[in-house]
Amino acid sequence: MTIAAPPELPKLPKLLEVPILLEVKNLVKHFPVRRGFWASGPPAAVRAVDGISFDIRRGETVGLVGESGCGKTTTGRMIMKLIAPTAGEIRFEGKSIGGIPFEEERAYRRDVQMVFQDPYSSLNPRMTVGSIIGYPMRIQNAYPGPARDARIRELLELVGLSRYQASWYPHEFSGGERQRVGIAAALALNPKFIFCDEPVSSLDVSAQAQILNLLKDVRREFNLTILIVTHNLSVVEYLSDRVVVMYLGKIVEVASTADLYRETLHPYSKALVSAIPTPDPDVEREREQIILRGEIPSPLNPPTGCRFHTRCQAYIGDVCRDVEPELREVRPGHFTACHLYSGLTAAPAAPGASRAAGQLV
Amino acid sequence: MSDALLEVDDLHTHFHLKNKTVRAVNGVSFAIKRGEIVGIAGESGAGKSVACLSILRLVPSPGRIERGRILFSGEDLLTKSDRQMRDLRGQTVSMVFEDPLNSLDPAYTVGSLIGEALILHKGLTKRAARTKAGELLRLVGIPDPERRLDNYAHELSGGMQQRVMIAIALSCDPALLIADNPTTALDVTIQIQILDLVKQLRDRLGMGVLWITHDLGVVAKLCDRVVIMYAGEVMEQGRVYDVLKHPRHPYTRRLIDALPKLGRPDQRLMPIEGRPPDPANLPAGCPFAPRCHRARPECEAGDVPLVETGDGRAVRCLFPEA
Amino acid sequence: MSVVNLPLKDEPVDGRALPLDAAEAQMFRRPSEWRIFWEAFSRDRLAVGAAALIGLVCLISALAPVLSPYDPTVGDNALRLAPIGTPGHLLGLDGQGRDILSRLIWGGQVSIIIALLPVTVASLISVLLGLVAGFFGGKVDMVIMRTLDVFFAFPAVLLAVAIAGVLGPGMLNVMLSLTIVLIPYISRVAYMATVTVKSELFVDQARVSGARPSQILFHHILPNTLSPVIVYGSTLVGILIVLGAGLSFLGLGITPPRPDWGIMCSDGRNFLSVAPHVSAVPGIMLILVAMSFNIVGDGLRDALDPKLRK
Repeated sequence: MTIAAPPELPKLPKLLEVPILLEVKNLVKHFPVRRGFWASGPPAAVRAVDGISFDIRRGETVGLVGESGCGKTTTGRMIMKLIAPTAGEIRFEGKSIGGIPFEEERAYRRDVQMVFQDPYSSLNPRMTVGSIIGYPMRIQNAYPGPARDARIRELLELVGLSRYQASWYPHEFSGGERQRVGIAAALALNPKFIFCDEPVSSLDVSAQAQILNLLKDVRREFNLTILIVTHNLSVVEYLSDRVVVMYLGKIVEVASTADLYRETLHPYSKALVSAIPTPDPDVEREREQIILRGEIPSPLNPPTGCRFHTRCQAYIGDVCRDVEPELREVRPGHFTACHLYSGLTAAPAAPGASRAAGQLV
Repeated sequence: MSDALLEVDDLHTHFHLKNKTVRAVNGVSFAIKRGEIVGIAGESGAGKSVACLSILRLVPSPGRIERGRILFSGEDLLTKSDRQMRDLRGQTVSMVFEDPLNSLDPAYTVGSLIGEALILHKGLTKRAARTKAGELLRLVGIPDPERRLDNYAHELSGGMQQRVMIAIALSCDPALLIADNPTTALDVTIQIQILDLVKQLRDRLGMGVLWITHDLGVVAKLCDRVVIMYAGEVMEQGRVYDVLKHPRHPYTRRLIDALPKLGRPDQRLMPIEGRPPDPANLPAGCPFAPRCHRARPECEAGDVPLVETGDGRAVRCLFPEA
Repeated sequence: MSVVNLPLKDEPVDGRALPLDAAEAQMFRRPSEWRIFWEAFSRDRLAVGAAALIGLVCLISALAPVLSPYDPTVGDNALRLAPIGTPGHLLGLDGQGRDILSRLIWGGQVSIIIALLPVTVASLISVLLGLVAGFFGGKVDMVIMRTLDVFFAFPAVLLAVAIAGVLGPGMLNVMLSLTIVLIPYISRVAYMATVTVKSELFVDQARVSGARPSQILFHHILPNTLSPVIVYGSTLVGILIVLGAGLSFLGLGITPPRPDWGIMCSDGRNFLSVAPHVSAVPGIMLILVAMSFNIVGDGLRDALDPKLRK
């Protein structure tokens, strides 16, 4: 299946032309699946990311959202150079990060750091938190000598822990505190860009709030650029300037946070927003409850045409099944890939007009 | 008593370890009516799961129910024999757990898993059980149910597995369904399907549902009434609208304030300082007092009673908010 | 450390007001790894006792030339099969009139070295194999692990007997055969540990920090792989003590007249009804030492677990 010609890189109308820090162009990642000896047909692959492009400007926080199998984590791991793309390119400060010599890669890793999802697995249980925070500096030969200890203490306090806890082991901390250690380690090398992979999903409500506030504070203090991957739209709303919504390896909508919530264009985004539980019974009562049909299809065998058409509550007709919609700018700075707006059908239907029977029982 | 399905009265469940006693549940009381969905909400470690396991008397040793009554349709479950409890479980009261993959035996097909309860409790033949299992799968919204009967649990997605668990739980037409965080591991669009399913099943079958969660948003979406637990005690309970819109207990208020709210990204989140108390080392008085912004010396002096304020509302606080 | 309220920013953990520099120096001094390990290990009194027993046995056997009352190879025919408590011979004499206590002390050298050395050498080789196979994966993994799998097809004891049979008796050959037999087992433990650790997020964190594969192997994977190997190894020593003795019992072990506990058991098998102590004494010794190694292995497992520290 050929990938449609790449759309023009979105140009956001901003008052000041803020430079682009990170660019993702036509990124593709297919994971080949080993099959049995007697299997027939073309080799199977999990099409985790199937041609996406977006960019992140300096100082911006972009939220990458979607559910299982959408490819958001894979995208992040490619940006972190933990896995290599199948096709496409990633550019940091204008230069491609693929196929570069080791020294350049090391420099990249100083500028680009990561906060991990699981605070229980992301800290080596055999190292003290001081050693863990100092490890990136040790690897990169940064802050040699007594300056390193001083910096470790400084970082501990920055994230709200005590400098005297540097000799403690990870298991002596709670989940929220461990995540702080992870953030301290990510900040150790003074990076420009931080990728947060579901930073609060495994935390309690209170720890979640603390970490989100910490990220906000740290971002402001160090003018960080952040890419946050999560499935929780209210977390994204709290932290992000812009949101990229993914489904089954493709981008379905890109917008500023305010625009996304004010006028959600893509049917999937609408369903996603409506599904986020919020503790306000009035909001729950008033808002549109969209219940999608069926399960999320497997990325081994995504649907033809628009990948969302099998569950879409605004399904128009054969065009959705046959033709893959392109990501296009429908409102200023607001992009979506949907035939409701692609001009390939008659006048764009009001979203939600043809709502499929979402009842299950 | 008329339509009170379950009444938990002053339940205390403690775990006796080598050198300490973990007091997981300390005086929990609440009630569920027929056809009502009651949520038990709180952070992890609050004792929610232990309380519900106590209802079914499935608390693992060294846990023991020290005190209290659990009235099911008027009869105290704590006085029943093991055999009577076994008859009750899976038939009249059934439970759905958090991680379906761990709760579904991987060696059996979905059809066998559902059929097992039917054959055991209702004495159906294998064929009749298989037919009924297919109906149940249809009831819980699994497409192509006849084929699914021959699938194994791991061949299904998370959402489908959870539906299978619900089908098993419903197989013997229980009067009460207890669900322990069954949707936390699911994607939101799947979670909302399950929540909607549960509501429809409640409407259709009239059973009572006890739903444990730490997500107040799920409570707002699904439940009629909510019980807020902290450190093994009930802090507040009442109708969902009342409790979430006008929380009276400071803990409830702080829980709500700590959550990011859709539509209000500029409102800074207010985390709760400190940590929950060690259940082996509970302080005297109100367990939330050390972290409470409204606490005064009286709060830590002695036990704080749960005060009913009418209309099914109750608060355990000496200085509740208006 | 569950209900500690976090100390405020500049307050020392123990609450006393110390001058900042001294406090900082104190709080940053980490107890050495050995101390941490010892504190954890000493909590298990049974393990400490077992370790003491092993230590004692090793010490006595090492000092055999000094401590052994008699020449273990020279027999006094007049006192053949004398029972325990015979004056001058604490544990009696065997079928050839040799002092059992002396043979026990000298025999310890062989029996223990036959167990310790193969485990040590095999562990070194296995850790290397397991690390390489687990870390690099792919074809390397397949080649190494499948080759080792072939050895799993043979029961260990049978394999040891077969190799020893081919090589012939003698201490070196026994140790060689035992080493070969052990490698697949220990490699598997090292391999599983490596694969598990490799998938932990802190390895990703190391990569994201810019660590080279060799640095990741040394800083993160090796330390987490060594512990299971050490624990498994100490259990294996216990097994090998018995296995080595078994080989000697079958005549495939060391060459006489050097004693070891296996040969001693074998020597006494014709006299079980009249003088059971000839076999029983070395037998009991074998059991005691093997069990002690097992108990120490358990204790090590708990002591090396970082989560049970402090």
